[in-house]
Amino acid sequence: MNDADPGAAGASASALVARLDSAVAAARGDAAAYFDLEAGLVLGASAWPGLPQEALDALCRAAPPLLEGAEGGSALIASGLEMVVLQRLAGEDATALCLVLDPETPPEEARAAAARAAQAMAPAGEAA
Amino acid sequence: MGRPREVDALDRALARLAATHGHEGDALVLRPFGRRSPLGALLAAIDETVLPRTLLIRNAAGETLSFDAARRRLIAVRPGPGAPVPPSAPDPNDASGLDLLGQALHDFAARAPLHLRQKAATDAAAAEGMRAADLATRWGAPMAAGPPPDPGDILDRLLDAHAGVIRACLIAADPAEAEADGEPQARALLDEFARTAAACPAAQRGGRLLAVSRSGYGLALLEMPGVALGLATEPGAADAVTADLQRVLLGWS
Repeated sequence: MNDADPGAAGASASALVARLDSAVAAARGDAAAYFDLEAGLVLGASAWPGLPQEALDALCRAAPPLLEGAEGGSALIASGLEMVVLQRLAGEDATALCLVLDPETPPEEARAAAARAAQAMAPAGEAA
Repeated sequence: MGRPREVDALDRALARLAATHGHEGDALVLRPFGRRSPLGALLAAIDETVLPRTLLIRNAAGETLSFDAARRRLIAVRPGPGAPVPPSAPDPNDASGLDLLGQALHDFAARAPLHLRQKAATDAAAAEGMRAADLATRWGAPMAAGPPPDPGDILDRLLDAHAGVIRACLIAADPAEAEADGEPQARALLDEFARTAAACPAAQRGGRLLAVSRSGYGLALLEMPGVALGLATEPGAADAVTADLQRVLLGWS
């Protein structure tokens, strides 16, 4: 018999989407995703994912080497379509937030937006 | 020649329009046009859009342009509120009218920002209009993107604009094989960053820009088709240099 509770799993997934949506709102961004850097897995995305799943998977694979030794725990990847900020989360060594912004977002604003998003992602009671 | 970046922007806007969770209301702002004439860029966007919808673009003056995305046809340009000019629709049999419309559309495209939205569902796609490609040919407005800037010129400009804060630089066809010039530590960091970038998934067709700060240096790598340009800077200048590279990526300089 499988002990997994599908209802609980669904609630957990919904909670993650809600956290990511909060992060997007705080950053005034387009979308966000949550990466497990060790497993190379996209753990979730905001209600509007912003990027196709294969693009999120590719960013998740690219994140560990880019974030290795990165000061501020962040890295920018910009294209003509979007500005992506990979942002490590405080107290979570193996995860990162992937924030999707408008491609015209200046780098300084992008980093500030990612910092706001990361703070909004923090579970209740952990936010600064 | 690569696909115009303005078309990418339109694609992005259309994808948002198609999404259930669009969060900018029913209108989306299109990016300003880059290394192209506004008229050519707008016609390219119409020509490369494939969607079974009729769309409206409104500019800052309140003028509207409607186009049939399924047939890649321009249907009409309408003046803003209170303007004395009558609406214009392309008529292939009216040469002088087409010339006037060309000027009207050129002016329209120059009045950014442009907002894109779908026409009301009750307004069925019209069969009239003219193909954007035919109009571009007639008006001498090339829809292909202009040549990308020379990496050496970009580097010279950045060195001039950020004198004294760039510690190492590289230009290479293959980032994995790149060898930077400059201060030893900055050079080593930049070479390593270029190799890291080379191991990342392939850049999108229009290129990409990666930036990170490591060991007290700002590192940025701009990858364009066939060439990569990397810079290591003083940390306080990192965002300003990255912003300049971003402008190159977006076709603004």
